[in-house]
Amino acid sequence: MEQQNMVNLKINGIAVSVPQGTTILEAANSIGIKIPTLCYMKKINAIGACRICVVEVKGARTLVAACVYPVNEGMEVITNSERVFKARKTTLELILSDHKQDCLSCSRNQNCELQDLSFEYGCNSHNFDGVRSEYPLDESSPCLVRDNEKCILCRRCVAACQAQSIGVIGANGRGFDTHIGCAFDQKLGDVSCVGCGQCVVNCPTGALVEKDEIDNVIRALNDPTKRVVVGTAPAVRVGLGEEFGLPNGTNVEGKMVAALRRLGFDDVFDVDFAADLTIMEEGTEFLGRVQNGGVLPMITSCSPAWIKFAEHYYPEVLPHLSTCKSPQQMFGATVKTYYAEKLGMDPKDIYVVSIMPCTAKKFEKNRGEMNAAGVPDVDSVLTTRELARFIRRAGLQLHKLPDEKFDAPLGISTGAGVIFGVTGGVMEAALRTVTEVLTGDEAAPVNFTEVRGAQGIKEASYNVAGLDVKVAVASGLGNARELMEQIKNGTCEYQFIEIMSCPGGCVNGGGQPIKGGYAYNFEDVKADRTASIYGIDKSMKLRKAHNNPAVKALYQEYFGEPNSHRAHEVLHTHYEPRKKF
Amino acid sequence: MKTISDINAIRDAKKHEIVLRGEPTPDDVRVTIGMGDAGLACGAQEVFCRLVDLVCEGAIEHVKVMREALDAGENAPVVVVACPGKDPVRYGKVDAVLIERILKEHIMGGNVLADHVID
Amino acid sequence: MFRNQILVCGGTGCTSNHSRELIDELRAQVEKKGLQNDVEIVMTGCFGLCAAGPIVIVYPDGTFYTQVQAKDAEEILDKHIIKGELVERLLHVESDSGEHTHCLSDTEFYKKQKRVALRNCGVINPENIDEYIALDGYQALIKVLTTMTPQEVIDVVKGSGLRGRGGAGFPTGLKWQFTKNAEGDVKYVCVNADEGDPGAFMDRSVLEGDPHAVLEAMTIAAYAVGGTQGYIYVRAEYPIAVERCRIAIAQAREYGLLGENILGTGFSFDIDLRLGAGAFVCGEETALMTSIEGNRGEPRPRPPFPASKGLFGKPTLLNNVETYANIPQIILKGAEWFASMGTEKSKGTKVFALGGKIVNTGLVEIPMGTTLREIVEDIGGGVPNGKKFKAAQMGGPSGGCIPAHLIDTPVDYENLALVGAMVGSGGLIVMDENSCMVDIAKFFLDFTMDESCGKCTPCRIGTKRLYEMLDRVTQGTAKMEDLDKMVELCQYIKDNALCGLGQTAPNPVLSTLRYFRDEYEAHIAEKRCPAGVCKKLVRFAIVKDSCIGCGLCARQCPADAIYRTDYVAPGKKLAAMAINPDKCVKCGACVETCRFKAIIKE
Repeated sequence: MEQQNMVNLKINGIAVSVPQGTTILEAANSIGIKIPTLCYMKKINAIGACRICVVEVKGARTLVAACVYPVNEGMEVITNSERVFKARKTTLELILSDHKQDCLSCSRNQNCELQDLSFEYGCNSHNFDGVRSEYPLDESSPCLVRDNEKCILCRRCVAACQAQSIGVIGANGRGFDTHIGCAFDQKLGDVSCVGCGQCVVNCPTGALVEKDEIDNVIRALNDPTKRVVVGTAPAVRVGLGEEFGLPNGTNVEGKMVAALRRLGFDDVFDVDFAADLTIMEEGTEFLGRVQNGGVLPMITSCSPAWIKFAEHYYPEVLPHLSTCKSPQQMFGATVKTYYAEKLGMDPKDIYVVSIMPCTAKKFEKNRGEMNAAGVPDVDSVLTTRELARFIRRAGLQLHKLPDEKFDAPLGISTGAGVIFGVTGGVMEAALRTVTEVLTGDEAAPVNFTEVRGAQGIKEASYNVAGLDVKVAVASGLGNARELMEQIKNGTCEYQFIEIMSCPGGCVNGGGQPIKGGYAYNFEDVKADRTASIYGIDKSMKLRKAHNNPAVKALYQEYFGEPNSHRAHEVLHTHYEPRKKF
Repeated sequence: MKTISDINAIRDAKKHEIVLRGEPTPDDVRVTIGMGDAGLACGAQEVFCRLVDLVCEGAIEHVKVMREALDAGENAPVVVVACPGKDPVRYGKVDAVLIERILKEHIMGGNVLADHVID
Repeated sequence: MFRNQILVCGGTGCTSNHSRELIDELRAQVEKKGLQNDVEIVMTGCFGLCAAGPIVIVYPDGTFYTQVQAKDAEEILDKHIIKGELVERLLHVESDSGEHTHCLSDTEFYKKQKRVALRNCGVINPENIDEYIALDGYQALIKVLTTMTPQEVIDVVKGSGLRGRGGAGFPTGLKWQFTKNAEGDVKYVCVNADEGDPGAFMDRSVLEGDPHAVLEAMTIAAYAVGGTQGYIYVRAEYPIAVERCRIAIAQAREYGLLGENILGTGFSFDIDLRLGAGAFVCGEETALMTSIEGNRGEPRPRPPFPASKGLFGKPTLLNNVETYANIPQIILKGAEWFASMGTEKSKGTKVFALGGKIVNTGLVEIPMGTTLREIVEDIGGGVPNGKKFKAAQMGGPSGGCIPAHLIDTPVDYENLALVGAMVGSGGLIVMDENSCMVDIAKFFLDFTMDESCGKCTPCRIGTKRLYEMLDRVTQGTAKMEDLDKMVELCQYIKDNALCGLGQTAPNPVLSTLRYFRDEYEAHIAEKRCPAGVCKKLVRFAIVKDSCIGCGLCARQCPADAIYRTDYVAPGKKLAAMAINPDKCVKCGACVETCRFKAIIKE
């Protein structure tokens, strides 16, 4: 075993011993000293740009950036001297001098890293008044809004986009005129941005925010002619609580339902139901392809940023995509056909809202082909964050609400549905149903732990009733790209692939609560949320999609059987290659 | 592709031309030919050309041929030889033959041609 | 063999003054007169006395002609070459004595110089590798490859005391040692030829005049540190230098002096060019490397240092052009020879680009330790038009100024640092009493602010705010307290910026404040610019008793700011004119128009 060299140093007079290669920032954190950072993102953005994390090192000519400076033997570091405090304060005041100080109405008010630090350091935001940069808002994307007047040029968004192997944004211009934008200052809506929102969840300020649809929903709720139906995605229930101060990953499903009811929604349904429905359609589609020599590998299609990614970058793999709509879209389509008929209502009078951990869903709902009833399947998408703001605006105190249950019939779900929120969940849900269908054995396994876990690409091989199935699960678009390259050059060995755009799956989606730089670097929020999801799954009585009674009823009453003609009309879709710019 | 001896051969061949160029350094012998009106009238140009040809042919380094309007009077053409570390020596009525001797015997050999020295 | 060799400067300065046409005409005349066997016309690099260009030197006598034009070509051939008579009117005239000099080496400009890095500039045709070889070119490489080990080479460089000539002054031998010690099968050897300092053209002249010296030095360095590939990063704004490098590389490759198995010794190394794209910050070593990699030119935090992790993540040696230009001679003549020049801690010579208010603008190379007085008064020929020397800015936008009372400061790394200036890359701008030091600081800060890459907060926003503060001083809207705030901001930027650009950007401000605080205070307290430069603080007024009332000034005034008063001065017929200060735009047209010297600037 390789012996790691340990380095001994002193931080603020306290002795600490860490492996060689550790940075001052990490060494300090290990003894409970939190050096503030703004630009640092472990592994993907270690650039030493913002200069907030500066510290004194004995013998060094200038202050040094703790996030990138490796420790060495005998080093003496001071993190809290007057010189350091003054430097950080000046850096913050300089940033503030070119920052749109819109805090009162900014959606990041009270969850902004610049605000927090300015408060900690007692900054005077007018100390360096001078010329301010002026940039127009970029509202061209349906998913997010960019306001460069609030940008502090930390480059975290650029790093996140590059980590997703997209890289549509970068620094343009030079010096004071530097600003983040697309090539040739094109708008986000006009380039191959896929709307995954990883830039949004990693932005320390309000420069990048989701496109707010709360007002649209409020308008619908106050429109007496509309029946407003809401559905919630699996990952929302383990993120929402964090917006109200609860520990990371707390399952607040019951209180979320209660809140939605009190917000005035006519029906509080669960998109997990539609996830079960998706398994029925997709499992059947997969078996059909296997048995009839269809295009393999088949690739899941519930992640809209992944779909847009494929359309831009790998149009040749589009035939591999499942034709199933995502659970969100199946949900809306079912509401406006089956449920509308059941209610005897015109689908035009039904307004469907989905609560999603995702920003790309705002783009998905706008897709022209998503209109099973001749009107959009889904009318509005609210991210977890928007729901939280709405709940607060409505004066609801989440922790004081009782735990309530979803409405029937579209609020009934199984464990297979809830695990859609984590990477590997769609695959596991599909495996649960497919194995039972193929073996005919009700006692077929429930847990397929091989496809669980935080790795970027996971693979597993199964032999089910004589059928060899090799599967792969990827989260994060960089990993998706790797698998697509395999398909492109003919080396792909899998039959079924699950892709989720966001690293770790929807629990880490672009619409989830924003935890900030420290959490990214030193905590593992998605692990907490993931554990919570699997906990919910384990606690449910029904864990396989095909056992969902409401799903069974839906087929009986309406669709007949999976992949039927009607099912295809309502629950399936198609894709189009897209140009990159 | 050249070998080391090729490079050395180029150097030796080209030296003949290059040797005339460049500003004098303290290590160089300065030979100044008086080429004012008197000098030119008495054939200083010939002396100049002869010396230059000799320096070129022999690729003699560290000898700089210079010109100035020296007060020559009846001693034209005058040539002043200044070796590093030594006092300048002034020769009078120099012609093409004498300049060759000055080069070989004084400059290269170190022996002043006392008979032709003037004040 | 050519008895007469007419050398004409083909550097950028003289080229822009039509020296190419002169060369063509000389060649044409040589043909016409049948002198092809007697006269060789040679295009060379920069001789250094750029103020007097286009420059022609006739060897062997070394006659030095200045400001020569194509129309002079025939006369030079007829008179000088054929008859042996000098063309008196073209001889250089010394500024102080008013006398003709015959040779470059007789001029005050040249006498105190010691040309080491520039030894071949102005002597050889840079596009002819054989001329370089004739002057012992590539002999150092032969010596190194056949008789020395890599460590021995490094020891010689260490012993010479050579320090980086790009500005930082880091001991070159030590840098080579670090790179040699780094582990790696691929190592790069790079040249920083970005030369971004305004007014600096030392590196340009070396690349234009003697590119092979750099190629030879790079190859020697590669042998010493284990380098496998070399890059010359040259700014695209130097098209002549780029072309000379291309030609030189092609010629070296043709002769087997670059490429596989150099001169049959088994050592392989090759060099490619990379062009900059117009960013001063790409002269910073990590920004330069990331630019070569194809990225946006922004510096990276150090450690790791380029010697261990540089270009493409490999150990990389990066030195400045002038640093390399010294290497072949250090190898041939020995470390002691180089160390015998200069001062105790600053060995050797340094090339300076003299500019600004000085008679002999151009390129000089002098032993370290020469005083500023010698450079300005002797070599530079003093300040023109009888004005007084006020200060010299050394080190460009990263440096500081040396005021008149410190003119006897010896120029070397240590002495300049003590007075708050720096040797820098060698730019030396002279200022006279008509230069406003606040305006000078603003000029340099404007440059660095514009060139900031924008990555780190202190430089991106700090220099902007500092500039705004300085601007307020020149506009007359600053307060005394602002000076202390400016100093604090300067020190913050120096202490926190990510790279050398930001860390040194405040230097001109700090330096001018240190020595010319009274000027700053006059701007603020009296709203007056003592040098008469800052437009907002300059007042134009008509002396009413001198004015004859002709009204010509009023007609020239573009702002309609001059009006006739009721006052008729004694002895005058018409009423005097006056300037309305609220309308005046300070263009100065009235001053130029008035034939009676009745309008003053105060």
